[in-house]
Formats: sequence, C-alpha cells, structure tokens
Amino acid sequence: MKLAVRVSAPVSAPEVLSPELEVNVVYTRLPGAAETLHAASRLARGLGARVTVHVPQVIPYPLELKAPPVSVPFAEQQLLALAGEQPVETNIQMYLCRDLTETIRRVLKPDSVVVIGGRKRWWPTPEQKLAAILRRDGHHVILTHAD
Amino acid sequence: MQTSIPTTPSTTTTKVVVATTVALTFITFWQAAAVVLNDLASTMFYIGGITEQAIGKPAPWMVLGVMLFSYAVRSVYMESCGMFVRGGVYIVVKDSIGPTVAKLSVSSLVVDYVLTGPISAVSAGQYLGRLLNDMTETLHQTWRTDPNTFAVFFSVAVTVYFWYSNTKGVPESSHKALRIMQITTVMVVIILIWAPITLIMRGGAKLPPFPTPSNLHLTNESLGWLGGTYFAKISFVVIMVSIGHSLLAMSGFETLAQVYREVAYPKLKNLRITANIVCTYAVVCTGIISLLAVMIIPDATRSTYYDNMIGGLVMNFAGPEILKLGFHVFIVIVGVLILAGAVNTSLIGVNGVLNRVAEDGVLLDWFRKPHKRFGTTYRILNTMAILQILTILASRGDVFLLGEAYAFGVVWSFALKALGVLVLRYQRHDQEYKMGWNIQLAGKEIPIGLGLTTSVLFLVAIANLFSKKIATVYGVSFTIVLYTLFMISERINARKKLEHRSDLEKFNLDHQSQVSAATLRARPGCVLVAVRDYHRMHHLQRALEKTNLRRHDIVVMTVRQLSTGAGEYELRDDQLFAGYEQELFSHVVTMAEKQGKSVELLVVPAVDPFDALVQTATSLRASKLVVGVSPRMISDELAHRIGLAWEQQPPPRHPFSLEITQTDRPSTYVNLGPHPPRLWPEDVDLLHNIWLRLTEQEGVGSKLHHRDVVGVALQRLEEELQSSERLRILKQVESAVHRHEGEVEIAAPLSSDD
Repeated sequence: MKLAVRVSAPVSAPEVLSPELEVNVVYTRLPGAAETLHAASRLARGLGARVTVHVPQVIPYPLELKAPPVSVPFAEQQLLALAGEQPVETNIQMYLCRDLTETIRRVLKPDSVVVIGGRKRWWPTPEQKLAAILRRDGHHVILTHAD
Repeated sequence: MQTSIPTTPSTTTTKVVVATTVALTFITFWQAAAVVLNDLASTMFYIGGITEQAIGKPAPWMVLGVMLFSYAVRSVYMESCGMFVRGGVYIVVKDSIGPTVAKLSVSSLVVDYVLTGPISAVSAGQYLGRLLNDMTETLHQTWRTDPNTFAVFFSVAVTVYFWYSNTKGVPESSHKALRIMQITTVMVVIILIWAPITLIMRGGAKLPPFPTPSNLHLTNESLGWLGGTYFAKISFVVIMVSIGHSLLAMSGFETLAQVYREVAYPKLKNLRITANIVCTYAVVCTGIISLLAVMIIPDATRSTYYDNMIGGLVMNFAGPEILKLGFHVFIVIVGVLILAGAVNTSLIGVNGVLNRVAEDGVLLDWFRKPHKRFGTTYRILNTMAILQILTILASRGDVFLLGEAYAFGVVWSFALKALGVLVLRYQRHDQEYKMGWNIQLAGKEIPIGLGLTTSVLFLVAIANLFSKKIATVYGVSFTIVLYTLFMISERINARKKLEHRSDLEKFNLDHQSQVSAATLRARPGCVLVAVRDYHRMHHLQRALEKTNLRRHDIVVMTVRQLSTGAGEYELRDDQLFAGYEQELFSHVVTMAEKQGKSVELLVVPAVDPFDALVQTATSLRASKLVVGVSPRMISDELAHRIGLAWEQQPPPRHPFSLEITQTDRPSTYVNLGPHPPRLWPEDVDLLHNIWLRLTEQEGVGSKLHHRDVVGVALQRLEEELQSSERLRILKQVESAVHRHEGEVEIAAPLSSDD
C-alpha cells in the first residue's frame, strides 16, 4: 500500500539520540503468534525497552504488491487491537512483500534482539530457518515455541 | 501517513503505532522465469491429448510450431513491457484502443482464468485416477475407479481447498515457484534421457506425419460450424483451425507482464532472458515431450492416454514395470503440484484482475467488500469458485471439452494485446524495445513482424470462433455477462464521481531523529541524489543508469524548505510531506522501477537547502552528491553555494564529489574537500619544464619530484601574498581566472561507477 520515506529531523534542530532498547518480534499468522508477542512484551517491560512488531505479508506474484489479498485497513485494525493489549510501547510495521526472509533481513537494524514464534517439529521449520539466518547476520534471536 | 492510535490498557498508558510499507525487492531472471513457467508449463500435461483428439497424429508438430511461435508472442510482451512497467492486457488495450475494447479484453482474460482452474484440476484428477488404476492393476487388484468421475471429485475438492485458503488469505511462499520448477526440470530431464533409450532399444523412431493439410484429419467436432462447408476444404482454413486447437499451449504468458515490475536491473535485458528461458523451456517440455509421446505410445493404445499423455509415455518406456510405476508416481506428484498450483494462481489472478479494474471504477465496490473475519475480497472469490465448480461439473471430467472452451480466453486476450501494441506503434514513440522486422517506407516505419504476429493471432481467434462451438458459446456468453456487468458498474460508479488520484504512490513516513547510513540502510559511500522538480529529473535518470548497486546504494532526497525558526517546533506530517512531495516521489519510484533498481527515499526539512544537502551527504558518508542544473542558478554558482556550505561544516569534513548534471552536456564534477587539483595542460607543461631544468641544468639531481616543485612554488606564493608584492600577485590570479573562463573543468569523481 505504501512505500517507506525516511524523514530526517530538521537539520538545524539539536540532535535527539534515543538510547532506548528495542525488542523486535517477527509476527507470523501461526497459532500462538499472539502468545509470542505477549512474551516479548513482558521481556521488553522487564528491560525497559519498547517493542517493534514486524509483520511481513507475502503477496503472491499474480497480485501487485500494493494490492494484497487481505485488505490493509482490516489487517491494521487487527494488529492495532493486538498491540493495544501490550503493556509497553508497541510499534507495528507491516510489510507487503514477496519474500519474508529477505524483508526481515532488510528491516532489522544491526545487532537487534529478535523474538520469533514457531512450532516445535522434528523437521526444520521455516521459523527455525529464519532464526538461523538472522543469527548468522549477527542478531540476537530468541525462538519461542507455542506448543 | 501512519496510523497512530493511543490506547489505554488497565495498568499503564502505552503508545501504539501501526504502519504499512511496501517492501519492493527485485528478482533475478531465473526467479521470474520460474513464476511464469508455473503457469505456462502446466499445459504440457494435457495439450498433447487435446490436440491429437482434435487434429490427429500430426498434433505434436502443431504444438511444437505453436511453442516456436511463442517467441513472437514473447516479443509482443517485451514491447508492451518496455512501455508499461505495470501493464497487463487491460492497461495496454485501454491506453491504445480505448476502454470499451479494454473491457472486452479483460472479459476474455477472466474467461481464461476461470477455465485455467477447472482444466488444471481435472487434468490432475485424471493423472491421479489413472495412476490408482495402474497401481491396482500392478498389484493384481480388481478395484478400479472411473477416471472422469474421480477427476470431478478431485477437482471440486482442490477448488474448494484453494477457495478456502484464498478466503482466509493464507500467504504462500515465494520460493515455491522455483522449487516446483526444479522438481519439474528433474522430471523433464529423466524423460528426455529415458525416451531416446527406449527408442534405441526398440530399433529406431518413426516421426509422426508432418502437419500438411492432407495429414490433418479434422473431425466434424473439431471443425465446428465449419464442418461440411466450403471453408473446410480450404487448406489455409484447415491450418488456422489446427493452430487454434493447439494455441492454448501458450496459456500463461500474461504472467510475464505481471512479473516485469519486479525484474531486476537491467530490466529489459533481464526480461528478454526471462522470456527466452520460458520459451525454450516450453519448446522442450511441451513441444518435444508431446512429440516423444506420439513416437513411443503405440497408435492402438494412445487414445486411452489422451487425458494423461505423460503418464502413458512413461508406462510405455522400456524397462522394468516397477521402475516405470515408480516414475509414474513421481510424474503424478509433479503434475498435481504444478496443476494444483495453477488452480490457486487462477483464483489469485482473477481476484487481482478484477480488483484492478475495480480501482478504475469498472466493477462495483460490492464485489470488493472485505470478509468480516479474514479481510479478503470474498465475494469475487466466491463468484469465481462457484463458476469454476459449475464448469467442472458441466465438463464431467472431460479434459478435451475444457480445453476446447479454454482456448477462447487464451487466443482473444493474446490477439487484443497484440493489436494494442500494434496501435501503440503509431500512437507513441517511446518503445524501449521494438519487435523485429521493421521496414522504412516513404519515411514511415512498417512493423512487419508485429503486424504478422497480430494477424496470425486474429486469424486463429476468428477460426476458433467458428470451429469451437463450445468455446464460442461459453466464451461469448461469459464475455457478454461480464461486459454488461462492467458497463453497469461503471455507470453506477460514475455517478459517485470519486475524485482521487490512483496513479500516485502512497508513502509511509518514518521519522528519524538522526539520519545515518545505518538507519537508512544505505552503505557508506552511497550516491545521494537531490530532487525537487519532477519535470527535471534527468540527473536521477543518469544516476540510476550509471550506479552499480553492488558497490553503491542510491538515496534520493528532497529538501522540504522551512522558514527560519520553524525547526524549533514539531512539524505535522502534512507540513513535511505534502501532495507535491507525494507526486515527486511517485515519479522517483516509477523511474527506479523502470530501471529495476532500489532507492531509499529521504525528506530533509531545512531552512537552507545547501546546508541540508551537505549535512545529509556527510551523515550518510556519501561518495557523491548528484544534483540537476537549476533553472534559477548556473552550475558554477550552484557548485559554489554547495562548496560554501561544505566549508561551514565543523571539521573533520567528509569529502565527496559533487556531480552537476545537465541534459545537453557532460556532467561537471567538483570535488569537495582537500583533493589533488587537476592542472590546466599549459601548467602541467610549465611544471614539467621547470622540473627538467632543475634536475638537468641546475644540478639538483634525480631525487627531485614534480610535487617538490609545486610545494616550493606554493610556499613562495604564500610568502609573496604577505609581502608588498600582494597586489601584483592578486592581479595575476585574476587574469588566470579570466584566461580559463568558459572552459569546463571535468574533474574525476572521488568514487563513482562511471
């Protein structure tokens, strides 16, 4: 729906540095994703940090990126309701993308603390693979299991 | 641009911000080819049988011919993609011929999508049902299933499954297409090895008869309304009708236009490679395998394999039964994967096309109402799923019947698209790629290649109209219903007079307290391009063309000028990013998409634009700042102002190149920061002569370098500027400036790709 534009602070204004710690949650539509977010929020509150939830919505190729199958206002409302339940400042970033892994790798800042919810299986799950890739990128990844 | 809603939970007050961003990434030609082939290659599972039933034993030649003709259709798509980055058949026809024919073209495309689902699902059901029969036969069991009945149940189940998953909006993996094509390639390679071995072991191969009019045995059913008429005796008509029965082998090309937006730089070159991979793969898979099937499956039994030709081909290979059965199972797995994927793609595709036309007000908003629980456009999905299920039930699992109907949508959407591109040859002159075979006649270009391709497609479409009764009745009625729906919707929507510009991108503002290379995801050494006027973006175009993204990222910035003191107050989003910035960045995104290169977008609010440019280049540690020539300021003055802003920065100052681009002359480079000067040629000569004299005549020796000479000269200059000679020296400096006035110094940039 929208492309990102960075807006800098006015160049003449004094710089304001935000030393705040950030806990990043990769939010999937898997069962238990809400529990993962609650766990991350509790962790963030304990650390005095804020939570940024990354919600990648993968759009199949026959559709334009700005025309996802799930209406954007609808998804935003759902996420707002979920974020409203959290006890800490929560910033939700939804991405309309083609590739989940590449999108998450692009948006995370270096050395991020990342919480990923997943299912426990005896075979490697996509969440486990994502966690491994992010660890290789130098992020601090916590993989939680809903079950 | 962001939705910011404060909420108040029971314990504490928290701030919640939700923002949605389009994460555009560009794909390689392999990924693009895999996406297209997932659609196009699925036809190999049923085209051989359908065509042979219609035109007889020369069918594989005709399929091969159609696949070779797909190279021409590829060129039509490439020409259209060069003009419309986001252009499918609807956009191209609407722009060239007008909205009425565009609605007809969309109707035929929707017919194509509606039938892609049933034909793919029924074909997969046929393969699966017949495999079950083969397995029970091998195991000496008496249980058998009727493949047609099985195919109907299976297809309905598959359609319901994908309808439900699309209604729920379950995301699918983008890597799936590549995986499926990898598995399909394994299958194709095994067939291409095993089939020749079989032919050798059988002592040779007999090619099917060539598709000459005498060899083409068209039944009354395949001739349709032409059967028994004079036209059925005309060889040309027979050939056109035969091509019409084979043309659906090309179904799926429309996906090429859909993936073009995301093909990486160099875009058109990569599209050409993508299209060539697709066409070559289709020739080998669909064309050659159809040929091998007729050569290997005996004439006596081949008719029993019309609905699972590749399964029949494998079961007639030379080798142990168990091995053949094992490979047959593998083929059915691949077939079910690719064909079921096509069912899903058809639902997604039709949803996308109808949503796209709804944006233009051609479809009632009623169809786009989101599902209460899942947020998807369930009314479009429901309508399409019902139509697909009704089509499956009406076909009673007969792939041939579905194939006949399917051809209508395929051929008419191709024909209208080609006509649109042909008309655009006379309306526009910005084609980045032109289909070959163009001749100049009396100063006018005659597009022979494009004209011939369009003519063939139209002749085949007209032949189909008279020879395919089912397709014509189904397609025409469906098109009339859809066209009427579009007309009514358009009239109702016109009354609402919706005034919004849908051509502008929407942007999400991400406020940064401090701009740096890390926060912007631009590596140090990036190229910073300043834009302000979207009518003057030549410099951005040049930067996009020249910059190698492997080495340098591109950041496009605009300065939002503030009045003095405005920076002290918090500014609203609309003060920072107004309609003009939206339009400006929409143009930037369009140019970047056309080049297939990603750019980072940045708005810098500032009182002094020159300060903003220099500070941003410094914060990002940019290697180059690219600006266009200003209508209000000559390039020297522009360079001077930016240079002054640079000098005012606190040390240590970050050095970078300033590139001032003009449309009609080479770029001017100015290196900001200490850098070796580029001497005028006569000064280089003078320096060299002094150095020669000092080393040879004055006996200073070979240890003296040119830099030492310059060093001494500069020390003397500094001393003389402090002495009574000052005025004389200043006059000399002035005359040196005037001597080179009007000459452009083209400096080498500090670090760039050019």
